[in-house]
Amino acid sequence: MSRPAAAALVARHFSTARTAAPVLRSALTTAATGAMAASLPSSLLLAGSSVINNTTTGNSMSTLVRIQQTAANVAHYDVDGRSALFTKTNPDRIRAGSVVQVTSLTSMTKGKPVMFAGVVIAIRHKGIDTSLTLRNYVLKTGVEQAYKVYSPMVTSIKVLKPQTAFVRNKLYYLRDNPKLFKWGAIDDLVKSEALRVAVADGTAVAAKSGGKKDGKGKGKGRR
Amino acid sequence: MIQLKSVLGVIDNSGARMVECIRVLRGKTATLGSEITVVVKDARPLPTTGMTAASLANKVKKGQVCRALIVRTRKEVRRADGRYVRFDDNACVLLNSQGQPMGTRILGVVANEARLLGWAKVVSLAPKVV
Repeated sequence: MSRPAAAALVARHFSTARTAAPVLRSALTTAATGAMAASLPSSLLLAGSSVINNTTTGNSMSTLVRIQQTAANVAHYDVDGRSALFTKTNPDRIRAGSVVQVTSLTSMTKGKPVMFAGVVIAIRHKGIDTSLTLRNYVLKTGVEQAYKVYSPMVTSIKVLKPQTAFVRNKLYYLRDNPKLFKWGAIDDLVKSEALRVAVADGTAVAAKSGGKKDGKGKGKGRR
Repeated sequence: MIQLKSVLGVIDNSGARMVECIRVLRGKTATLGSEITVVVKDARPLPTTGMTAASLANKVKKGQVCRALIVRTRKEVRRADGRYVRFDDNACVLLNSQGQPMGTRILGVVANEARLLGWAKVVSLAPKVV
């Protein structure tokens, strides 16, 4: 993709200015260009980033530069601070077994955001390629969706319930043992989150928020 | 990744329950949104009373060969932004020779790939699209 076209594409998709990212990138670049000569492969350059040096003299890249490049990539696409949810040192990070709600777009040009909530059964930590796999039952069929966390089509990631009572980092065994999790609880969490957002926005009448405790059981896994 | 001899569930009200793939129209394996030729392996018994001739004509019998559109696969399918979708079963919707759905209702969730490949009529019948 040509540089002006790439810059236009990025500008079109990210219309809100993110002041933090350019500062970080320029800070990294001065360190990178100070520490390393021009050994950044062009395949790792960010689209539209005129800040980072474009000369490519070698095929190899040191670990230091690769780590810095990854951090720059992640910072560039970390629009709403979601990288904090995937930082291993953060005690409130998303872990396998949490219930998470992801809102995403199906198309960059049209359509409304689509919401999918589910149990996190796997998190793949790979810098910019970090992905999150959610599992839920939709109309009695198990559905798994794996989202690239830093994709511009993923508009928000919300933790509905933090992880408890799961030891493993990958919960693929839940596919064969669905009874180990209360799947009905996910719908309840989504509803209460929608209500909380509506009340916070002022779109819901405050009196209604007290009357949501209905005891009707529905669907499997409710108990 | 549906291929010859793959067994799929049918999620419309055409009468079939399980079908077996006998031909993949394009390529060796078929995925979400692809059309295949199937033979009906298991069908709901046709009721003896209470059905008009027109609605009976649409119900399939065991052994009947027809086409189908794959709407759910156990194999994960990649979307353009790097997202993956996977279902717990392989499911399809039966089509007649003109490519129209044989059933009038779809019972269950359907993948969005079908709509992107031009099967909007089928997807519009679905109660939920993922």
